[in-house]
Amino acid sequence: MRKLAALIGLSALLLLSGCGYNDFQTKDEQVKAAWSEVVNQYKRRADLIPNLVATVQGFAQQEKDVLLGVTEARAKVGSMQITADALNDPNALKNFQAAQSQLTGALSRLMVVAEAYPQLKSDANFRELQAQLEGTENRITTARNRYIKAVQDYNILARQFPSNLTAMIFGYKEKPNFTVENEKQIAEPPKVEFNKK
Amino acid sequence: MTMLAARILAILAFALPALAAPAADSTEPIPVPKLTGHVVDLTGTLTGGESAEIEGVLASFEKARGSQVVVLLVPSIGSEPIEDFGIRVTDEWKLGRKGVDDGVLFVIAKQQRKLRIQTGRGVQGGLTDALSKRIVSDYVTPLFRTGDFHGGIRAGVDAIMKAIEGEKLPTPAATPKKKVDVVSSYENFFWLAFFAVPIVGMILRGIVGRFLGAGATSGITGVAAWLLFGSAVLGAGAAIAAFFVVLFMGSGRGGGGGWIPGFGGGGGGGWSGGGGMSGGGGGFDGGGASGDW
Repeated sequence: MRKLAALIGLSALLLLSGCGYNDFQTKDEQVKAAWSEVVNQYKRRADLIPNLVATVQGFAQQEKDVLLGVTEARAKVGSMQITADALNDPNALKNFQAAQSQLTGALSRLMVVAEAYPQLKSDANFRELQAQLEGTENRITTARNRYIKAVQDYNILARQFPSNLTAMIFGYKEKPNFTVENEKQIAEPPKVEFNKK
Repeated sequence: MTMLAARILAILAFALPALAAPAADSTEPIPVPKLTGHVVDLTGTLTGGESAEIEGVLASFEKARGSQVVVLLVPSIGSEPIEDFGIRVTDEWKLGRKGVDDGVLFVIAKQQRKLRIQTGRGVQGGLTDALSKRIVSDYVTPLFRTGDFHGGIRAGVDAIMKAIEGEKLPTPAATPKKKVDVVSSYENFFWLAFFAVPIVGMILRGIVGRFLGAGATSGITGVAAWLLFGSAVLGAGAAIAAFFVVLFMGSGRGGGGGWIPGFGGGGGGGWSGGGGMSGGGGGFDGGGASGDW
């Protein structure tokens, strides 16, 4: 009787570890960690905006449309929070991406406009914010790339042969990833166009 | 015959550019260079003495503060943005201490005339993006423009070190050098301790008897623990503990679970010796600032 129980225990153990149950838990955590880094960096960018808008306003208050665009896009981003658990919903991810890329666009317009104000451009405060924004855009790119990699690893596990059975039994689905077209849109740092005036 | 030759020529004319294209294409990112010291100059810009001087400064800074600052000069990065190249390098080199993330990469691409200070998370309190930008544009590039690479690098490195000094980082001795993935080791450890050992032991005991079963389990546990922790000492400790657990298990005395060895050991010195230099496992998040001259 005791032996039987032990045998069942042992086989359950081998089954679970052999079919990647633990791998799923590890990779799932990695995806979540990578996601929170993405959210973190987007948040960092959003936090820069009030200061940036205030600084630009000081020198270029007539650029109302552009400033309003940034403020609105930021408000939209701020109202949209996806937790790591809601990540399995492709639509939620899509909306999140759309909102963030809208903010990216608005910010890049703001930076273009700023080029026309020499005083603003040489303002120490503005230059500082500009450097921070550049650094943050780059952090976002890095965090996104790492998230894409983590989801890839997870999805491979969910589709490969022995572990896909585990995925089936426990109901682990493939996770949606950032799409390429959106990625290009979002990953693009604010560009400065000199010929536009 | 001539028609055949013409056809072959036509095929070749189509095929050759396709074959030649990858070689001529500069979009292929260049491989990450080897981390050979605090100054990795692949361009021959610095003289032996200049490079040794900066190396000395950075090596003693690492000894005193624990932060790894490395200067990398490459001839060209192709069409890859310097930010992307930088993050590829730091992902591989892992500058800075693990968990402290206090590495800094100062990378210069001569042909593209681009440079970047890439900062680990741990130093970003003092060495902010804005300060990195100012170091690049106020200290380094003015000298680079006059052709004074040594002076520019030296000025940049000094400014970087000064910024890190304002940071409250642990002193070098305070952080352990061991590179074990602690979380997964613990997880596996408990797995081993509370499930695998008693179950395997019970089965083996039933098959080959109490003494041999205990011996066999202890051997398996020892090897498993050794692999998990990368330390033969811990492996041996786990083996001995497993032996007694299985021996006395379920026989009234002892009981399971009482065998967790004092987990202090840590054991196994790192492999940081031997000529070159190695990163401490620090992570980078892509922060920093770039510039050109």
